[in-house]
Amino acid sequence: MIYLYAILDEPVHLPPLPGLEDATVETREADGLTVAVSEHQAQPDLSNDAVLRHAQVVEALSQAGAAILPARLGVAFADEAALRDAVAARQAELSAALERVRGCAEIGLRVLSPEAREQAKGAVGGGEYMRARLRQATHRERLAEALHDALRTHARDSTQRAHAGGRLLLDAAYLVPHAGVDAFAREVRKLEQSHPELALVCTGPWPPYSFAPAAEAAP
Amino acid sequence: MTPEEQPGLAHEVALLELVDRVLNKGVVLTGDITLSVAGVDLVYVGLRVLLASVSTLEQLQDGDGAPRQLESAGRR
Repeated sequence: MIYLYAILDEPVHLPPLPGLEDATVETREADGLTVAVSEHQAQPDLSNDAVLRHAQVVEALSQAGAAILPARLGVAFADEAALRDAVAARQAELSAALERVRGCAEIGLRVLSPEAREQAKGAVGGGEYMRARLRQATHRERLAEALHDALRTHARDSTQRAHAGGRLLLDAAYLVPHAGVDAFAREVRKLEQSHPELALVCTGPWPPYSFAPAAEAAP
Repeated sequence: MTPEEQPGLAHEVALLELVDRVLNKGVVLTGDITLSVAGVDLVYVGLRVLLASVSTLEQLQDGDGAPRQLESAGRR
């Protein structure tokens, strides 16, 4: 069985790097791209240790300089031929994604607002309460959009998860060129200062996990 | 690299963000074998912890008014 860590645009020189269950990580050519893999006799156990090991391998690969698409945890193939076939089937899409993430890091942002219920508390009567809730929802939407727009101008690409709700106003990831990370961080601090009621939880730089194509995007 | 080894809310948040990425994002190819992730429930528990932790973050921010920059876990 062959386990996948990442897809790269070119071979990278790797120091000996332990993968899942201490298997050696190596890079191989697949349809003009490079895959970082390890070989296993049986299905590797996906424990908490595996999560960290997978992340460490992806991190080391991303430091090696090539454009990288990290794999999700748990992507494996019966043999190398099956992996080559899977890469070949989506070669164009993967190449385009590699081109987009080249020279960029991912920055994550979650924005939390004060407790939503608090703001509607003063309202009396069902109708007024509902109108207050509606105004509040519209206000939250506009606020999230304004924050997202301000940060998007510093990014090559961005994603926004739709599940934002409750205290979570915005859950987004930004693909930021390495040279622009400082400017992005300054923009975050600026937004923090102009919205002291919000908590902006900013993390990164990460390898571009959120900008790697998932299976659902396949034609 | 566990939170026990690197105490502090920033590291905990970064670890949860990392786990969220590794489990929920990243390339999935068609025709592969997706191994089952036994600990997947832990992630959702973890993200709830993250949201619960933010009041603590806010208190930290209120404490000295300085914006906090979080470092990512698993780096150097």
